[in-house]
Amino acid sequence: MSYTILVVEDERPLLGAIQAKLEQESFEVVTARTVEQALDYIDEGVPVDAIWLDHYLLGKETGLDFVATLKGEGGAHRHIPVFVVSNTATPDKKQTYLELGVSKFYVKANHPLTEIVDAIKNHLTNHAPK
Amino acid sequence: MNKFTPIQKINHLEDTDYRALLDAVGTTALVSVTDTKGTILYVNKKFIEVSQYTAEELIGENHRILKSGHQPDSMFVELWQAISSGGIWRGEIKNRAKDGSYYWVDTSIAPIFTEQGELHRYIAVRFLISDKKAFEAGIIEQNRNLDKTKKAMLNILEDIETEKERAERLAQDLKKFQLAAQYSTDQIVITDAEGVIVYANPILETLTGFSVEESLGKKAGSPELWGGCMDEDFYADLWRIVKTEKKSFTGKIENKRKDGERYWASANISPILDETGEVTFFVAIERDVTREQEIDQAKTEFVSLASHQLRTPLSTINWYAEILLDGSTGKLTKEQKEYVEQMYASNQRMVDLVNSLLDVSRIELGTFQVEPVPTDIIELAESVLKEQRLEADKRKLQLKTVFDPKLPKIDIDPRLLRMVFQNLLSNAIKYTPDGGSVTYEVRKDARKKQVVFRVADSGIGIPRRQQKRIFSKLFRADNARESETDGNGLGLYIVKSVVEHSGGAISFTSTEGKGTTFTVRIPLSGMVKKEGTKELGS
Repeated sequence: MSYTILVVEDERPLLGAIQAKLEQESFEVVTARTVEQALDYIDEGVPVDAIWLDHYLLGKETGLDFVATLKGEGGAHRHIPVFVVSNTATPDKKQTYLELGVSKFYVKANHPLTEIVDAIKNHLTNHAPK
Repeated sequence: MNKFTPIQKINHLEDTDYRALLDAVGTTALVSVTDTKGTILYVNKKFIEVSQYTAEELIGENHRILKSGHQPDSMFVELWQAISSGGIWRGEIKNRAKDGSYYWVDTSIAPIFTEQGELHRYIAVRFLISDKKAFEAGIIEQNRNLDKTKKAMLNILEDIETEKERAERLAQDLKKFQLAAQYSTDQIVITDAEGVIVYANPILETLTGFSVEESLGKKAGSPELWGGCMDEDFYADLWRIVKTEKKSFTGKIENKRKDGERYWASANISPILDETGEVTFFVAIERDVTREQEIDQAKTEFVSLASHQLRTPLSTINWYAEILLDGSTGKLTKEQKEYVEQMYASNQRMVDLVNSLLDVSRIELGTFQVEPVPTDIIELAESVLKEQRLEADKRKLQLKTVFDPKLPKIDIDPRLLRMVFQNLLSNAIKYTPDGGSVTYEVRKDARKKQVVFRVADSGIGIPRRQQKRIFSKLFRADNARESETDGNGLGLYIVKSVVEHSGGAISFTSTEGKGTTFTVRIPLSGMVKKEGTKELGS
């Protein structure tokens, strides 16, 4: 059994690289480019084990809005670990994400893809082994 | 025959006339007759009445029993000289009555000659002038009093004049200040010692929506006016500072206008003290800084967006290169691998440059935050060293460390200090040829109350004529640029800004071809916390 990961990223080329790497590491990948799309997947009951989330997305809503909704009161899918992988530079945004309950916050440009993917894999095997 | 005796036109009195004269005169005048020695031979009724002595007490006595002592002896000498030589003397004399009271008499003393022409008696006629004298004395006293009053009045007039001038000057000054306050573009509110508004300039209405009329008599900044948006502690602190500690308050306050709209104001509230040091008034000057806040906010958001825009393509290249290099898309030829590695390396430089530029923009905007926490500096230094040891070992550099184990924890922002360590250490390693040495020292200077961090290398050094530019943005010395190493020239600018912002200092010594030593000093008291919207190095 492999893990399913929802990648919420609007930049197509980037999405391509991320998906390639994740699939290489035996992840099932579903992708979304907007908060609405991402929430639809969740609500439709797609069995997502982890979420890779960017901050700036297509449309008005940002990653923060997604996390707020996901981790909100009574959310059935609160437990799904969220890994924010973004390029924005404000510490108060990072602070807010962490306060909302995301598992980790990465600045994209500063980390090799492998590092992030390994971290997600380790987290899942430690917390939700399959 | 007519017994007509015509009136003889001769001017003289007859003996019988003299007796009548004495009676007539005696009704108003004191009359006395003395012998040549001054012994009283005769006194009239008036004399007895005024002097209060009886005839028996007076006759045979010398006139001097009536002496009051008021007249100087010289007058009596003069008197005797006059009358004893046959002349008449007239003068004003103060005499003493039997009961000790005094009376003034206008005195005339004339000699009486015998028929043979011998001087044998004196007659004195005295008219009471006590009233006149009293009147005169009264007048003199009155004049004296009038004089005093006149002087006093002149003094008062002078004082009034001076006060008038002062008041006029004050009124002019006041007018100037009043105009300044009325036409200021800042809101000026003056309250009494309890914060009740006594004056406000027209800007009050522009800024808060409340008119001057409806604000007078109310408490400034109260919820019924434009206050109430901050939490209770804020207002309590403010009141304590200006009222209890009698100091000025400067800060930003969020207020609400009459229509409910919120806005940010920068405020300065100062107490005015009287001579005893008690608060008499408060002067509050405020201006709307919502616009400035918005601009700052916009700048911050711009930097955030810009960083996102710049980093996105860089991340794309990074990760695709990574995927190519890991072989999962197929094995690369040696050449292909080399080229992709070059792309990857170049891309990394871009990433570093963007990060540095972002740091610079935050430094320039003054928006980066300093979050000091008690930090083990040695631990931090060792962790930075570990990161770079691989590189140092690859180039066969001797890395020597001198860490003071007794260095206490210091309140510093570890992210910022890490940047400083990383930058200086990586420079030392970069610019030292293979086989050289780098010494890395962290110790305490107890005397100067500082932490001293020193990195010394045996590297290429900084040419003397370029040393003063070494901290400038994007500057790289010629010998550094000629060498194989890369750098964007922003590192030292950032390090210097961070160090100085934290209350520290950075300096260096260098000899081209021999080596460089950088020294950073940070106070033992640590970095000062600074609110900001950004962290450096993120």
